[in-house]
Amino acid sequence: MSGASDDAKLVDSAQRGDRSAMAEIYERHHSAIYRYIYYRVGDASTAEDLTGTVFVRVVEHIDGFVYRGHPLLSWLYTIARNVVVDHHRRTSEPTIMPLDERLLTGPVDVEGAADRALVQRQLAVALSRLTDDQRQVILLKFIEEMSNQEVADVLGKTVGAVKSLQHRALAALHRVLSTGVA
Amino acid sequence: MKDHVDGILDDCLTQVLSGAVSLEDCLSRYPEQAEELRPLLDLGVRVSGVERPEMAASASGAARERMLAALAQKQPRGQRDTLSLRAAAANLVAWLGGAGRRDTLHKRTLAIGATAALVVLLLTVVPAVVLEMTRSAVVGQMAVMTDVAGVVEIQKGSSDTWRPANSGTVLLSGCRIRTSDLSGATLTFFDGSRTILASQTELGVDELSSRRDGAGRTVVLYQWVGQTENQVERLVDSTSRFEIHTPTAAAVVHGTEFIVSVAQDGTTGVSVVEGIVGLSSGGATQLLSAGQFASVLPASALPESTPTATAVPMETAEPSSRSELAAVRKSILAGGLAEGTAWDEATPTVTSSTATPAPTATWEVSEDAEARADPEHPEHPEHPEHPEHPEHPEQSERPDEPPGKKE
Repeated sequence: MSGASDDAKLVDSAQRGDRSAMAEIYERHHSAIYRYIYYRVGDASTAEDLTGTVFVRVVEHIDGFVYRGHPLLSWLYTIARNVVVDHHRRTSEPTIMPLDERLLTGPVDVEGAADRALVQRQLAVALSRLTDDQRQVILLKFIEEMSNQEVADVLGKTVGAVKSLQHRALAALHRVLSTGVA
Repeated sequence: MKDHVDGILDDCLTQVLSGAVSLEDCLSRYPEQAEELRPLLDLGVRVSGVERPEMAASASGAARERMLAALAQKQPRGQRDTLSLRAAAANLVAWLGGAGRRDTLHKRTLAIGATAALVVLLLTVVPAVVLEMTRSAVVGQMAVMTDVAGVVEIQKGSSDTWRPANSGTVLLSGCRIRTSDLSGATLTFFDGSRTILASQTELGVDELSSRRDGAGRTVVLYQWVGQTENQVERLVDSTSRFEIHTPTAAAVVHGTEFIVSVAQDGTTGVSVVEGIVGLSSGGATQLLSAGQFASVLPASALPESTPTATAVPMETAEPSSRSELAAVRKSILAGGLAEGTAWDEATPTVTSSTATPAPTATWEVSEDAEARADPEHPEHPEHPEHPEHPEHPEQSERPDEPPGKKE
């Protein structure tokens, strides 16, 4: 994860129209943004398209962004969340398919990439049943492998609140997966 | 108590995920919480083991280009440094008051006067100039490729390399696109206009731009070969234009839908589905309305004798000049020809300016454009755009053959 001073410099350069600074922001964060979106929409192609939209919005709005010490990624997640909401509004319904339907239509003996994709989609469906904060803490801790302090910085919470949220999120995810609510 | 359990769970997760201890070892330290923690720890470990979804390299590159294209359209903040009134006034005073002038009162008077003059200047002249410069500044625009099917490749700017293109690929001025067999793609331009490329088509994007105030929207394409279907948004002002040049002709458009076909020998066919298209070749232009079809033959493809009823010799095979295209656009925008008005073949508007020109291209205009432009047309599958092509003389013998139905 990039340091605060790094973020401040990057933002400043990007606000002055520095192409390489914008490219650096993209390189650092596009994977995390893509995964965030993927686990919200459950479809790789849609997630790729929406990731591009997020960074176009970054370009459009970075002039108005005021760096206050929070990680830049935190702002990017906010934009990504809005882009996903807009997407769902446009398509009128989430693109995620119910878990049981995925399982029914999936191959019986899944291996390799197909197996991984299926697990990813199952996780996406299950995560879609959590609250924003719960989903975010799972992604940041277990997918992005951030420390509690980093998660706290991104979410704007204390480390203690992150630990508590992590507990609730895992319990909720366990409930969803074990009861087949997804 | 709950905080305590939160801490134990986090502690166990940290240690287990780092490989410092096993899950069982960690739980054995907290026997009272083991039952509650076991499924959560197990789930945490399993989620951590899920392979992280990654963006496809091509999609990532396309998204990056979209972002940089958006950046290119912005005026960098650093180049918009605000004028410091105080600093400017101070510099002016320093300049005026130099050469050993020591009278403080005089300096103060000068400073007030200079500041006042700068204020007047800034409030009157500068905003007007800046506003006009900002509005009239031309900025580069973009198009986005969608509905990619089969093999579609792009050649960017100065590069000689053809690379695979995907849905989402951003196109800027100077790039070139080609489609292979059973392939196709759609280009959606910044103004909402769309160009659909059929298979075996090669198209250059010569210019994509507009003024900063939204006027002067310009799309200029060069179609080397193949077929395109073009749906053009109504142009917002007289300086906007949508043009497709080919080796033998140029089509100038005003809010319409039309099809352009370019055969391997350069023969250009234009079919108008809706609206009006100004078709230019050499020194002449022709307005085509809905349902009309025109073809322009290159010099090398001219038959021994050309049909006199529908053919008008052209002066040159070079693409039309900007002034000629502008004249067509002006006549269209001036309302000289209402939409849907059919061009009268008996009184062609295209004439040669020389008494005995050496014909290098030939016009042919006919009705029933859709049928002639249909690539699935059974009578002339290889040259649907020009059924009377010299290589297909049999077509000229059957001019009344029923046209195929466009899907």
